[in-house]
Amino acid sequence: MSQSVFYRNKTKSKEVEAIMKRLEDKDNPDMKVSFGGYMHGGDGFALKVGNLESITEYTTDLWKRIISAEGLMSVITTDMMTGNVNIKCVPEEKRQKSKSYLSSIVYLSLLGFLIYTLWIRHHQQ
Amino acid sequence: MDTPSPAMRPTVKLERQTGLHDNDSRFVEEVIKVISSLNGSSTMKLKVHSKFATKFTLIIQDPPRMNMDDMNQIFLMNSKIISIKTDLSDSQLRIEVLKHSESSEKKRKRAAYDEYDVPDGYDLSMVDGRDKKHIDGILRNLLGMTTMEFTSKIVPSPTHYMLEVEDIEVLDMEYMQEVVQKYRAFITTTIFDYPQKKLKINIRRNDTPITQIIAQRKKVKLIQ
Repeated sequence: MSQSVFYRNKTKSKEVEAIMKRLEDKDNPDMKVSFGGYMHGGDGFALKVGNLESITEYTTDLWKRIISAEGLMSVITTDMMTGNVNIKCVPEEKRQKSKSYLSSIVYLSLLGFLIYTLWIRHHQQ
Repeated sequence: MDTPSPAMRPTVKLERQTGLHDNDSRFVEEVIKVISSLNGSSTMKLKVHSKFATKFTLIIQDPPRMNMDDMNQIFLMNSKIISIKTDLSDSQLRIEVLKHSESSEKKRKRAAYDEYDVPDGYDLSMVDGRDKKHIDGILRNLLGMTTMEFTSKIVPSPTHYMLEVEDIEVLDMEYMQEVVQKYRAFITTTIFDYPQKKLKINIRRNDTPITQIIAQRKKVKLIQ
């Protein structure tokens, strides 16, 4: 008897549904957006776009903006042979917080001040 | 390889494809003959994409069950094969080949991918402690060569484990060859079951004696 090792999650999250809904295009009614599944370890998901007549920079930019609004980064791959587009949505890499920049600035200014004080004292002697 | 019916002699005649040289057409015919000789090939369809100037793609829709040896046969039939990709979800086998006029100096890239640690959600409780290491390794390789989740099951038997994989994305045959070679002491058969849309890997248990090891085919160099 077979025993399951891992069962692929096919349920769309709210985030996926929101993006899919926003990707629908009234000017391109035949376009079909489907869910392609989650990536290993749940690090993002993929969407498949079919029945596209043409694809322009405007379309891809719009898709990127929609996905970015959900805090995700997108990688768009077009298969010219099948006419399908694959969109991989992955969480954005965490940016360095401004607080760490601030602490670096404070340390550097303190160091600069100390060097200046030592230089002044040296010249006074 | 599935045993071909001795009475069956496939005759393949391709209508002249625009953009395909006679040698390329012959290769397409030969591939079809090889695949047609396998059981369950009566429903397959062929599509040749030859629009590009340097390469053409042979797409076989609904091929029969094939094993690693069958795939290796195809690789050996033409030195200009760029890649063989298998899409089990769509029951498709795609063979990308350089056109006759193109030199095959551009050698195929060496298969390279990073292994991916088996995520926490994977249940390997049915696997014996002695076999966990190599089954985990095979899974790490399958996870590394793909990006999307897939469903996997294990059918344990007294001598083997049958790893069944479904809903897997397109697999590069070179990567598969690498895994089979890496775990040649454990992987006894690899079946691409297109009708069932499954990849089946038979993995030997550590306490079962080795009967056969899949040897890597070595290139023969002719010295004049």
